[in-house]
Amino acid sequence: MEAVVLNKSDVTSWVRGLLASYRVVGPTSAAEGVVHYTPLAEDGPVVLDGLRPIRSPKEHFIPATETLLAFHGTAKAISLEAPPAPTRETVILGVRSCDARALTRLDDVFLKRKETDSLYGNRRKTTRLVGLACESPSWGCFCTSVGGSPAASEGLDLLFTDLGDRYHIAILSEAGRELIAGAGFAAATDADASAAKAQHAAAVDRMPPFFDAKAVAEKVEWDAPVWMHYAKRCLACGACSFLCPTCHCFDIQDDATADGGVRFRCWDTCQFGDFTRMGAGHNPRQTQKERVRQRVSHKFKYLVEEFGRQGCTGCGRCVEACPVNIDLRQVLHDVEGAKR
Amino acid sequence: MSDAGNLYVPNLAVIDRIVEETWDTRTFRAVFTDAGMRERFSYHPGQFQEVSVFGVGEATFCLASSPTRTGYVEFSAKKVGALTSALHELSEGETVGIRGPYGNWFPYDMMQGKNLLFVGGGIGMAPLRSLLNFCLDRRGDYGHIDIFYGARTPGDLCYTKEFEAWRSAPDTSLYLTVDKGGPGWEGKVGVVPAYVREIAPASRNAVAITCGPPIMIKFTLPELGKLGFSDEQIITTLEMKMKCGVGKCGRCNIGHTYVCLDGPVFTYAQLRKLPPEF
Repeated sequence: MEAVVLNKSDVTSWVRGLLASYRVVGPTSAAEGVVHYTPLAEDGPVVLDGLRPIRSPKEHFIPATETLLAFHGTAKAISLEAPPAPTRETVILGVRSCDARALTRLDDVFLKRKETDSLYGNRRKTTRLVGLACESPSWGCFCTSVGGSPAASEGLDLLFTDLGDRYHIAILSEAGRELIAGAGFAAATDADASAAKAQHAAAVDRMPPFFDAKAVAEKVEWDAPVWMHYAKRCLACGACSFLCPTCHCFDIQDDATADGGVRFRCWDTCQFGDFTRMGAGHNPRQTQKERVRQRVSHKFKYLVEEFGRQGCTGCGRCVEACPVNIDLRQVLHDVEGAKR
Repeated sequence: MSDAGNLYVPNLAVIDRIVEETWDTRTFRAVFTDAGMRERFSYHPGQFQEVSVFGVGEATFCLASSPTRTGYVEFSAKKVGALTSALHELSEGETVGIRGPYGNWFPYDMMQGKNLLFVGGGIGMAPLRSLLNFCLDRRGDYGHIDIFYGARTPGDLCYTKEFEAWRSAPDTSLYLTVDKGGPGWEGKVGVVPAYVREIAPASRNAVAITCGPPIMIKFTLPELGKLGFSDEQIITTLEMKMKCGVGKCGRCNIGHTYVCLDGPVFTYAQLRKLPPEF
């Protein structure tokens, strides 16, 4: 694989160079070490390494709230206005392998399932992803249980591996090559490649699989007691869904003003009671048991049946965020073992 | 530059006729503002659309009109929530948004040459009306048509102005019934499944198409079974909560089946294979 190296002291000037041609989004530290993906300013700090950002870059493809159209006038005379398509290309830095893989899962829904969602598709087409191999996985991580790895390259254009004073950069696509063209980076040596490989292997070693995802897909049962077991303490807060890089469900609502308004979509979750409640009151998923079953079955069975791959990449955010300590790894372990 | 491919931008349509079907249900006839869209919006009986009242939101309605009757689309709305209440506030001449058509449709080609048994209850008659009027407009393509239609009271029956046309169509029978009679009602009193049992339409070379309240469906299916209808010969259409209508918003799945994409029309044989979550 073709690769180059970049001294850490040169990262800032490289990013500044990118900012001349692209909108650049990268991890930035907020208070108390919490990291978010935010658009970088011309003179702002560039911090590639650090904690896994608290949210995935999902929101740069399906924003938490997004205008679908604006309407002007009243019911007697109305005109519609669609939002503009992006005019500038975006580069996202520091993308974790699990999150890049998660975007390929969102592609299944937004681009492959029947009609194409152009709002999502245009952002995908105009965004390049620069990955960062995970050196030390977080405590909730389980990418190796769902066919991933802390240094997987799927969906990425470049993959950075931290070699101490420099990064090893694997070139994974033409779009990635363009980002480093002309920057004068030295080609990676065999020693650099070995060091990157060793680092990847060490990270994998720190993450023994918790369950067998393939076995789970076969063992997700409709009437298993496991659903009620976890539903009993689930608060239906939706934190798991909102932090999940593959959860994509949304609501569509209108916001009216005196002379018009906007129609927008916003993140929603199958964990909420009224998610499937119809106008006249009928609700196919009456209790939290059905909703817990839906979320797990959808990710580990239904999507496997539909697209041949899980709707989970093991980022572990749901595990770490759940206020009542529902650990998805344990849920799947229970499903696999058909316990409870 | 606006994004022309945006799936969520509806077509504007003017409500040109509102029919007061019952005390809580109205049928709206809408004509697309754009003349080209009137031509392009072609659909099949059984498909659905997303209808919006700007400033209130969108909801899912089956196309209640038949594509054989061109120039407009119709949908019937029972006043149950915010959006349907807003629809009921609209006057003729006002504008709504329409996206669609979405979903699959009744297999009307496969039904050719067969006897048809329609079994509808309440507002569930809306999708059946699309297929029924379609078949009546191509009367020669289909065999005998039996129409069973029931509601709670005479005042809850929709499409009453069309009963005469249905009744007088060649080789067509209309069986109306209400759970509870009232002043001026001289017709049948009783539930739909019992009426089906009494008339006992033949299942040979026939297809049953049913839509209505779950309780009606529940008791109609065994009656159809006793008449010899196989699960493959019974077709229904499902109602599920939907937002996008195009398989993105994640609301209408039953197992890996998306009602908006794979449905809303299913045979009873197909439904039996789905998880019981609808």
